[in-house]
Amino acid sequence: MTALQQLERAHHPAVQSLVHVVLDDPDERVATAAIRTLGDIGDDWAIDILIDALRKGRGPRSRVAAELEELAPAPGPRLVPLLRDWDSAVRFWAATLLGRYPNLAESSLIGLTWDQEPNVRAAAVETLGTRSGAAVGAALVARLDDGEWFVRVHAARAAGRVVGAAAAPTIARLLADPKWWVRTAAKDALRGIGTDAVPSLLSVLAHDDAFARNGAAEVLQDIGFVDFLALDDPTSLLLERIYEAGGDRYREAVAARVDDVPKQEVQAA
Amino acid sequence: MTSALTVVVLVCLAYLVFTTVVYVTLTLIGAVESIVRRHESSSADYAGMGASRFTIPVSVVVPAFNEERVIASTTRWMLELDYPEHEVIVVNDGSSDGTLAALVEAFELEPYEAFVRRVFPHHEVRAMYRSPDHPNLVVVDKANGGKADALNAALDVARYRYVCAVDADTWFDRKALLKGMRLAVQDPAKVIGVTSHLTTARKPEEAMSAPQGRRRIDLHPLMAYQHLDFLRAFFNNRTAWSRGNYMLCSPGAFAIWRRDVLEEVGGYARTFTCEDIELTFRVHEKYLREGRDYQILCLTDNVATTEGPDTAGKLVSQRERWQRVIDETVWHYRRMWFNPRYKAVGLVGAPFYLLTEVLAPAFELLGMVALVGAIALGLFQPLTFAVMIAAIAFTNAALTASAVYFEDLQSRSYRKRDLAVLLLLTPLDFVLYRPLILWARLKGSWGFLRRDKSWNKFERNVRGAEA
Repeated sequence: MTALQQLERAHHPAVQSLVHVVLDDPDERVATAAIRTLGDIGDDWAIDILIDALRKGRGPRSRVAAELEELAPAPGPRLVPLLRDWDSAVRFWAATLLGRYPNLAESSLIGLTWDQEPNVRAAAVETLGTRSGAAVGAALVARLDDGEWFVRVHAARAAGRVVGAAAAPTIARLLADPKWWVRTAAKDALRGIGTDAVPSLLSVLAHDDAFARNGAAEVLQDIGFVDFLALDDPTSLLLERIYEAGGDRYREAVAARVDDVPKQEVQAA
Repeated sequence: MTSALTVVVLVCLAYLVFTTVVYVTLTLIGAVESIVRRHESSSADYAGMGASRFTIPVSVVVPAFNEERVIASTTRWMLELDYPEHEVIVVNDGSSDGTLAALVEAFELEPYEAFVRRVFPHHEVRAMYRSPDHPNLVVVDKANGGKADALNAALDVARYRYVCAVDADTWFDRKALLKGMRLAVQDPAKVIGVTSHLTTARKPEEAMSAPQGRRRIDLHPLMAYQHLDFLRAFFNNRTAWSRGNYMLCSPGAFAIWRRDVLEEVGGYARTFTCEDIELTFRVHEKYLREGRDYQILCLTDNVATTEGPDTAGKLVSQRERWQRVIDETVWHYRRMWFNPRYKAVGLVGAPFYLLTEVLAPAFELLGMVALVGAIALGLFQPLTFAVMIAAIAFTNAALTASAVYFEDLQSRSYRKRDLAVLLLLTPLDFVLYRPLILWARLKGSWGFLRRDKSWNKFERNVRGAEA
């Protein structure tokens, strides 16, 4: 490992051939060092070897991906063909790495949201979550009903970012998802949407599922809606409904917070 | 009478030789592991990892009971760790002092409600707090239930795939999480637990504030010997255990676990005196019983300094508890002893604990009494006795010196002068420090037999007096 690094620092011509040997070393730690060295070099030939390593699984793919990510924007277009690779692990990493290239391969990524492999779908959804546009939004909303829970997790967060308030009613439904992590992601997404999500959240307050009601109350608290209501109209029926969804500790926490806030400030806000 | 005494002396001598051979072997294996890890660590791309979105987020969980004087500063320190995404969850475990008030004041906390799953068993949560300035800080206030109970409450709140359990009186290297997570990031499917090397001082924040290479070792004699003790525990034992995949103790001061693993095993056990070693045994037991491929690793990077007791009384109290915990755990998992089904854990790790930790106090006491008796009865010449003691002290010192060497080789943390003083203290460890530890271990063993489960938290050191 050290020898290879020394040769690289000295720009020795043998590095290119040596690195192939080291990359195929059965000891994963040695292969990892070669990957790191290739990332340090960053020339076209080194990028080609890294992409080849990603495709063939030479060395840990996560390490290869980390090096390729640091080289952004250089290898972007060369990653696009990997989206069609037969190996799902390669498609996964290609979709993930394309998160750094907002103008590349949108239609291919949308296509991958229907990939048979859930990891690939999740990666495509996550990457599309950094983009915008109607087609991207529609693809993300479609995945909110994915059969795999972790795809729904990514879809909720991504749809919240890309689609915003228009996706709030669908995301709010996920507050009653059977998987806890999906509910958590839905809460994050609705928090991100902010006050535009209030109507959708209020509709969940009457849900049969107590956790869904709790979740809606939690988000209403986190976006400041409850505090505003508690200061503006402390006797409102709506506030009482939210308190019922949140429980006693929720009510006490709101009371403790609003006690410290001068009413004029809230009205001004 | 004399023949019985001779047998006892010979048995004790055989035990001494056996444990010495074991420690020397472990030190040699640990040396290989240290060298490999050092190479890895020196070529590790911490800057890249710190900036990469592929670095797995971590929930740092901090149980706190009566930590009023340190909690605000340690929490601030943890929030400032160099890591792309981490949250800090502090659990005030029903403190009777101003721990919660200190946190509320320092971080301008406000109460809020978060609805979390009740996956792990714990006492009632009274309130939750968040900080407007630190969105990645959560403070949980709950009824007192002990450290394991507090950790379980934190696990329920934790959002990330990996959790790092830490002590509230511990100061970390800024790169502690990066160092700890380096191997987990490379193979998250296999690496389910990571711990690393840590040391002890009266004022840990001073030690960790200084730059690498200029850190001071607390040379108060008791602290210096504890420092050596920690070095030995890591470099003479745990690095070798890690290499053999039978790492049996992820210490509570810095233990990274994959959260789903903790969920599978039911979280931290609340029925043991202390939670860390038992959890490590339990995870091994389950994974090996089910034939699963996994790794629990101990790295050699110095990631933290924790507050250690600065009087003999406090030290004995702490070590007495540690001994009880070891006894409880090793006894509880006795089905693993010498059981090939549990691979290296059953054939090496658990027996190692049994022979060198559980039975050691009894052998040491018996050996001393028998030797004195043997000399009194003329079975053993005082000169032979002196030579024996010198040989033991030398071996002990050699092992300790090797630990100092490998630690320095790994981290280059400390000033050379401090290391020299440590080395000078090494030969006297056997007569100045070990008797205290023996006494503590005997008390701990007795406590185990009496089924004592008390914690005996030691009073804060010089900082406590200064505050």
